[in-house]
Amino acid sequence: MVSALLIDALKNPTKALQDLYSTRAADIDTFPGTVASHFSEIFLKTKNTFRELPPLDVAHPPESYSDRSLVRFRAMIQDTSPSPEMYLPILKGNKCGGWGISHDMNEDQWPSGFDYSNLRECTTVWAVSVPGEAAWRVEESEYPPSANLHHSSQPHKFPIPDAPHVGVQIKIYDTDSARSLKTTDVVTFVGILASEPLVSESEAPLDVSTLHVLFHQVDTIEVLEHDSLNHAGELRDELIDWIASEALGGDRDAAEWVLLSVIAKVHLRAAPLLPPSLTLSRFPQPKVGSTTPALSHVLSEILPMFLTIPLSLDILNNVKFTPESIEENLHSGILQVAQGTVVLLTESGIQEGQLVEKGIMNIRALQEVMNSQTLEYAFPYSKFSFPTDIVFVVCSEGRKSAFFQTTIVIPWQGDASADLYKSKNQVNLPSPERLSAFRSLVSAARVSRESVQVTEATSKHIQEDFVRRRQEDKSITADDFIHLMRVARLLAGSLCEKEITVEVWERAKTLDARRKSR
Amino acid sequence: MTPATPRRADRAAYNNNDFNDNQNSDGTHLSVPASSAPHLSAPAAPSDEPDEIRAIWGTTVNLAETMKLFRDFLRGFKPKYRASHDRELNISTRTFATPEEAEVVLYEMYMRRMRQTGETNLNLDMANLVSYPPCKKLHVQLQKYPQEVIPAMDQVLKDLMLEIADEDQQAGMEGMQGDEGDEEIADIMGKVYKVRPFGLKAVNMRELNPTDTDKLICIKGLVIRATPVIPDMKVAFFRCLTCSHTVQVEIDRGKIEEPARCPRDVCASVGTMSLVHNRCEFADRQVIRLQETPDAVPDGQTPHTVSLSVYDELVDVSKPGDRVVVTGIYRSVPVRVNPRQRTMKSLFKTYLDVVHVKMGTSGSLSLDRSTRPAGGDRIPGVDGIAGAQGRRTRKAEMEARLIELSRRHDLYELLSRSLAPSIWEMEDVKKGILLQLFGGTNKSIARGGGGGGPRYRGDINVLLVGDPGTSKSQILKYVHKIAPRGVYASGKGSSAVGLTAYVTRDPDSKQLVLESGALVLSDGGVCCIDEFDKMSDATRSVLHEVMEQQTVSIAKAGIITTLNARTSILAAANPVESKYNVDLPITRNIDLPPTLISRFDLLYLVLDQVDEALDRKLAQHLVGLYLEDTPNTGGQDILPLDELSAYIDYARTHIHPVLSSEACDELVASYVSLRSIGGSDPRSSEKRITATTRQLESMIRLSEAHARMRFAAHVELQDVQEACRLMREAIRTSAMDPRTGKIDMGLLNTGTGAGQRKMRDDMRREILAMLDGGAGSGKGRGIKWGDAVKRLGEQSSVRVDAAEFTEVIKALENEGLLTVVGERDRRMIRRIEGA
Repeated sequence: MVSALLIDALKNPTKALQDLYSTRAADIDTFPGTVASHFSEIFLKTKNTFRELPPLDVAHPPESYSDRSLVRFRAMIQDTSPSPEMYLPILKGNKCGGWGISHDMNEDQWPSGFDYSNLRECTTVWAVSVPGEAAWRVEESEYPPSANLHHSSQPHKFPIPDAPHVGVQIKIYDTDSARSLKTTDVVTFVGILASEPLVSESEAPLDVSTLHVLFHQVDTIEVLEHDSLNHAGELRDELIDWIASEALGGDRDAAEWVLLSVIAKVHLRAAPLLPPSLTLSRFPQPKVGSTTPALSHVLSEILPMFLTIPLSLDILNNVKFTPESIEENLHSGILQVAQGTVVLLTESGIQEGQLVEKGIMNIRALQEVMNSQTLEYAFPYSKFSFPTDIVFVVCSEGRKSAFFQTTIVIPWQGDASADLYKSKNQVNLPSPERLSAFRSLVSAARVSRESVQVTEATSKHIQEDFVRRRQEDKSITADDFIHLMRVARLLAGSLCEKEITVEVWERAKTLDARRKSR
Repeated sequence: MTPATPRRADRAAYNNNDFNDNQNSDGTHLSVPASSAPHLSAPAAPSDEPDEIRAIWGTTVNLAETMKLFRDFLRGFKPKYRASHDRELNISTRTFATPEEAEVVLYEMYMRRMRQTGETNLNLDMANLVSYPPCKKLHVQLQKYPQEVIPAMDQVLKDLMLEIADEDQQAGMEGMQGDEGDEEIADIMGKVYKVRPFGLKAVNMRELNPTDTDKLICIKGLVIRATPVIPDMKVAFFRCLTCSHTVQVEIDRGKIEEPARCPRDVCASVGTMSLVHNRCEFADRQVIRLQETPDAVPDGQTPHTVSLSVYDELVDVSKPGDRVVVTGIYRSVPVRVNPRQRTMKSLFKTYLDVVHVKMGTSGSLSLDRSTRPAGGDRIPGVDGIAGAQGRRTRKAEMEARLIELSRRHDLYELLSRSLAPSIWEMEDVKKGILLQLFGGTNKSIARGGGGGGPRYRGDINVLLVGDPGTSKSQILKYVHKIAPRGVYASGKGSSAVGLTAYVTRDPDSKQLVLESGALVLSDGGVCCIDEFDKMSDATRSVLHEVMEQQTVSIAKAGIITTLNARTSILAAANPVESKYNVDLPITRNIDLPPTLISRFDLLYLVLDQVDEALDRKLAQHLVGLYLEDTPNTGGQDILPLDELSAYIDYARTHIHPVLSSEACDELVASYVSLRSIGGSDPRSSEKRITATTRQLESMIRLSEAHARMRFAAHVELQDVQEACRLMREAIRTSAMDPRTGKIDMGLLNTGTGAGQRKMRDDMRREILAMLDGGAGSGKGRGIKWGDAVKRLGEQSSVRVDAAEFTEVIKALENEGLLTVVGERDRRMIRRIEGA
């Protein structure tokens, strides 16, 4: 049953807020917290109540909503640098002034005996649609897509240039909970949509879509439950087969490496145990037509956040890869994506030509993310390094990637006659049931590799193995050892196992040996 | 609506009994009459409601009392109060040299100094205020109502300046007699005096909230932008078009309340008041954008920025790129949605009206003062405040701790251990970098010549060369974090432009401006360059200039200029074949021109070694890490980053060691011995070049840095010894001939080693011995070429190079000691008898 409160809030959120204020407002300092708990109680009760909220996305842009409608917005935080904004929390006649209500009030609406210390502040951030979010993640909604095309007023704040997206200024009144929000966090905001000037220092303020947040929720990795996870081994084989046959011309080893890479995440920054990057070398050039490898379509079906960057000199020289603050406005770069995003870089579009300084810097930034999973944001007179968690898969024609040093290089050895550049419709999708099983396997593998353990005996075995091998071959370094341990961990994760066994260790070793012998 | 009474009205009220009031009837800053005809129409004439005016609006604070308190403070504060206050807070302070020192009336002394120097600003340490018992209340008032209290203080200061001048004149003080004194007093009357309070605890700019509005606060940050000077209207001057009655209106919260009608009752025409521009009063104003420094920003968030308004003397004190601590009044003003409309919307903008600027923050090292021209960056105000007494703030506690730290016998080890504690081993490398951070003293021949004389660099440059994965980059990143004006650049990605300076058009002013690159930015700091070997030749050539002349010359877009780049360089490079080949001389391992290499004071090789025990430990460590998921933090006694940083900062700003005579002797001796190492073998025909004057200079710099680290005023024997040891260690690893193990600077400077020659000598000796001794082979019959090579190989631990062998034989042949007969494989080497 849908509660009356919910209907009221949906119909006129401003009024619902005022009502709440008149009944519950004891203290302007605790009121934002009250609002957050009150409305999250209404809407987060069940999955259905939450879905009652109209979504804000590319299909339902801000223009399709009337002023001050209640919406939900799943977004990535792009910029937390705007200064907090001051607002009048109480208006004349003890009315609520936050959430944009006081915004248009003239001086005569101010409470009598106005004191500047009675102002309150709200945190202002800029949020954009989650870049590279898979189409299958966007659930069907009962709200029909709008015909309005959204043009973000700040297109430079979206990582992918010229891509359709929604960019919104977010105002969070519950400042305590807003403090923990970081750039590239994926957050679902629920709030009142309005149009307000951008908080900035510039003299000519620009009106932008603004969401006055009632409450928000930070996204966490969720394991998509599925029955077939009990037979993870078989499911895994099936998934590898599918990737191999549809995208890699039957090369199962390459498919296995791709799978191992895409389930990787940053494990430990201090050590550091970072996700490996993968180069598919000897990857054939496209013959005619599409330059997007079928791998892109396949991966986008199983990964929640996935991007393909077709590298070319033009893109490298002209597109921003790292965020940069220009005139105190943080411009985004392609690499400013949410944690857990997988990026497929294709080198097939690269031709001879000159790489200008920007291009060199872009390549350096890419390499830096691969090596240390940090992305540098440029601010005037200072650079800030932000943690990222992006997995890279590079498709390269050469023996190794032309630009990047990746942790793993695997030469492709598939069926030369296979079409690796199939269009999206040509890719044979498994049954929806199997597809969702695959997705759940990937999500489960990502989570389980976090908790993989090693027993005392296995660790002893592994240590001895390393010392022995180094005795035999002086060229084996600690890095090789770390690499093997990383592979073993990923392998155990992909099998949804809780422990690295000697068997997994040996399997990782043979897998890696097979790769090296290619 | 205005919460505060116009401050100038207050002043006017107090000026009524001021004897200079009549002399300044118009236009001066101090006694602006509320109207040109107060006796006729002033609606709020001070005499009417004296009590209301005297209290700060909306409070019970009585301004007269506040002024009296501050007056007492200026006339009564003695350093002893501060000392006892610090004692209460358990801050250790310097003991007074003499009992009289504690009894000096500090601010009277300062005021006399202000008179003598013509300075008009008095920097007031608020800690002094709070430690003077009667002024505890004033301290609170100053924080809460700075807008009202500071002008009152200004007024007191001026009154007292005059009073003291008067007293001094009466007492017949030197320079204050008769006419001279009159002149001084007249001078003081014409001046505007300002009290600039400072010494509050700096808060993070994120913590500022509306309750701080109109309070005095202190924040620190990085200046990212500064506007040109803007004339800012302080007092507007209106004249009635009908009756020519004039009215002056003060700006309040960024707006001028334009009189709607003529205030003269007789006239009272509506809308006739017009602004007379050239009679308005303007102040110099500059808007500065201050950004959070990386250390203050919470993880994963982008930095916030606040606007600062600075006025008059504070304009242009700080430049973009500077780290500053500012004290100011936090303001919120309503934003006019449309500038042409009068209506205010409930949208607010915040900024800081700055009253005091201090360069450098304690979080990181400030720039090296000695690189700036004397007085060039000086913050206005009486400097004595920051000298003898003023520093006795909370910082005193830190200072005492640092001095105590400097007395630790294991100081050197402790500091070097604290530098990049996550990196194991590499003790000497860390020590070298540590000394680099302290730096030698900059020396200028023409002291006091405006820095015009030649300047000898005190900056120490360090180069790390080594195998990949030996945490060179980590060290660089760490240094970048704590170094003054640290800039981190990677050789690979930086072009000459990025590393030096470039010219762009300023988006605001549309003027050509110089924007500094890494090296200029790190002027007076440390520039960390990673992947030094991958830097383009063009960029590297710029470094030649930077490292010796410490300037960058640019000629771009019609601007030719030389910029200062007085920076220490810490560079890291990989060997040519990415892994160091120990069989090759260093110059062949590093792809850098020797001229550039020789400019580094210290060059360290960081090599990766294979060793079973180490491997086992490593494997254990790695698997342990993997099992427990906990990084090893060392857990030793180390200094936290900020303390290390503070220590270095203190040493750099306060300690300027000079060479003692025994240090000089030791330097000379060490230099001579370093030079003679190569020449010790009398038989060798050619001397190796072990050390050059560059190395001597480096030794001096390193000794100075070591003395500085000890907080010592003089460079002593131990400093020089450690410097020499470091030099020797660094040379040993870098200029060590891989075959002989001998130090050979010639290897660095010219690329070929004397060791190679030495080896040839040895080979020659052996060949002759072989021929003479003739083990098995009859005298005169000679030895087969191939046999000779084989036998030499058996004797020697080093592989006998065929080419080298040929060279030696050729040389011997030329000397007529032996002869070679036969061709190719059948060649025989024969000793020439009698030779």
